[in-house]
Amino acid sequence: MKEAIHELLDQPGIWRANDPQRGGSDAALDHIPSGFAALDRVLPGGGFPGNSLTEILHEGHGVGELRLVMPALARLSRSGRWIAMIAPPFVPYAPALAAQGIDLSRLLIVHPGDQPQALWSIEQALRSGTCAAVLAWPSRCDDRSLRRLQLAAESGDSVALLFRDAAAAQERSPAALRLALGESSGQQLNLRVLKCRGTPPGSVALDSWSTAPVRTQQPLPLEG
Amino acid sequence: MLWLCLHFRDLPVECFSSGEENAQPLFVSEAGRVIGANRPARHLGIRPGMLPTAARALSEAGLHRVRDPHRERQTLEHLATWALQFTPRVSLQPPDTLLLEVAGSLHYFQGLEPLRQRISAGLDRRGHRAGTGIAPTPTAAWMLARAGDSTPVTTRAAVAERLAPLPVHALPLEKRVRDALEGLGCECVGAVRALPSDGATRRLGRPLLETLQRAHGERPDPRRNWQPPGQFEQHIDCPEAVANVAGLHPLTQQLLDTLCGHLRERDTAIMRLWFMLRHRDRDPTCLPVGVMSPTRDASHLKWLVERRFERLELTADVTAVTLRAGRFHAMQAASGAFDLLDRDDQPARDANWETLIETFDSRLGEERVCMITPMAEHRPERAWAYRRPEKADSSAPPPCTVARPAWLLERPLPLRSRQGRPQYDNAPLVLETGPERIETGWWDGLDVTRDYYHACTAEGRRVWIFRNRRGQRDWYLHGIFA
Repeated sequence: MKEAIHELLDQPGIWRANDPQRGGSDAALDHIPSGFAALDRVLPGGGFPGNSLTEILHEGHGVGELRLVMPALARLSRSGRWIAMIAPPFVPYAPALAAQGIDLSRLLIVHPGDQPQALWSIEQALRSGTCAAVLAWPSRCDDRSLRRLQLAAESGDSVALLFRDAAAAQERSPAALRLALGESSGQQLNLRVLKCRGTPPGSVALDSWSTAPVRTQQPLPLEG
Repeated sequence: MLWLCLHFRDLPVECFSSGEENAQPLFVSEAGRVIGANRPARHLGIRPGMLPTAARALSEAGLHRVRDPHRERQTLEHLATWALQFTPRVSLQPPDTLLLEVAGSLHYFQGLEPLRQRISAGLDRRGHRAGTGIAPTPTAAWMLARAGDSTPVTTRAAVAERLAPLPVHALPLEKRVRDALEGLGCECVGAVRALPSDGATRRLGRPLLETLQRAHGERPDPRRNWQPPGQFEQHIDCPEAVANVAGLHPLTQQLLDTLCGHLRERDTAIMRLWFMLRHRDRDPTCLPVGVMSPTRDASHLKWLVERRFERLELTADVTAVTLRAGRFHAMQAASGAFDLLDRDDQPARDANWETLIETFDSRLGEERVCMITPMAEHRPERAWAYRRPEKADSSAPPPCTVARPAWLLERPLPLRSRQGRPQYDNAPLVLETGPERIETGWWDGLDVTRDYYHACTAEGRRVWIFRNRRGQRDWYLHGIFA
């Protein structure tokens, strides 16, 4: 009986939700390791899902939303394909990105004028097939446009990383992976997996998070 | 040699219309008589030989133009440039004829008939009708086209037989000579050829004999090749003011077709072009279009131009459209389609990347698509720069000794401080590391004296802030460790 079940389970057509090793279809096997061991252990396939949509929800800027994807981006930028940043909220600071290992000659920045243009640009970049990853900061994004982006990511074999406000966690989303960044304290960043294909929601704490060495906090210099 | 002659009988009319199907009635007059009308005007009963007043009575809305030989010549030159896409040997025969030497092009176009169809389809699109004549000598082709005999003559032996029944007025001779021939009782070319040559030469002049010999290939018949101007600029007047973008479409397509024919002939390519839309009482609108690598692919350019026109809002009616091409570039052979070694699909990918950037450029505007590059500079404002997207070698990461934030604010944001402590989003900041002193820049007007700190809010938001060391010792936010 047991053998029969194993035989059955070995069929490639069978997809098991709780099996991180086997993923699902062939497309889902194509994962991008995040570079953070703790996170890769949790995500099925061991990384960000390839050719699909990942949402990173965070409250305010500076909680580590970019650092979370930097190791993956650094590797993708040296894979011969391009990285596109669409509607970044600030200037991507070239020396810092280069220091993180991103190949700047493969990084394209697009400043679309308004929201419809931004969605159009994201879709174009995903669909073109030349971008390994598309990072985007759309100001609003409804279920329908997310679905379009998901399809575009599939057809262009591209990883879509959408950075959205934490409030969006309440909305429905067709994204393959939704991560919410919590407060970070010292060396740790708390991540919640809101939704992930093939694994139940949960939370992860990433260690050795902070890049700056933690020193004794200096007293503030006095005014004057 | 095989010559294809295009005779534009309606050129005086066609030079005024822009090739639209459902155009307004239009007729052209010369010396107080109508000499030609377009199809809608002919439907209304306007015929050559009428008085313009009578024609206008038949069609109130019709446009009346006086014949403009300069414009006809210009149109013929445009047609010659366009025809260069079929053969490099195009000869201009003013006022209304083109001669194309097509023997060398037959293989490429897979035979005479496909080539002919291609030419006639192209002319149709541009709103021209032409009588065609095909013969081994230019004069014979010219005569056949005039006579409206479009059956090709491909061997020299058959020329005499085919020319013989043509009427005398098909000969490219002065009217005086043609009249004299008819006076002699010669009604067709065969009869003229049968005349004793010395007597005919004595009475009617040398040109008669020479023309006949040229037509039959018994005398050399060199033709001057049309040399298009080196700079490409072409202008089309709209027959009537165009108020919407869709109305400009046929004009831009026609201009791009001409441009690409021109580029093919010169074996060159362009990277930039400009459309100038002229208005009646306003400065012209200029629309630049650029590509990432030299091209002369009409369909690609048309697609890009369409995208560019999509975001155009016309504020005034357009009376004329000009297309100006930028510097000519050498065409680079495209090798991406076929790779014996099948190493990588890199060229195809690069081509896709260029298409992506062109798409962004044409829809969003060129200034909105860029790349970033680090600069050798100590002040954060000057340590980076935007640049136009272009292919570059991959950059090695610079030796970075200090941690820098991934986000930089375009200009430092003043932070409020409470009890001497800077606040970010109403949360007090705790300084983590610092100060890092960044100073001077008196040579270019951005003289800074700053102490930079890494700081952190209680929720763990990490920022890069500085405090001026001189003057007001305020706190500023300059970067975010995202």
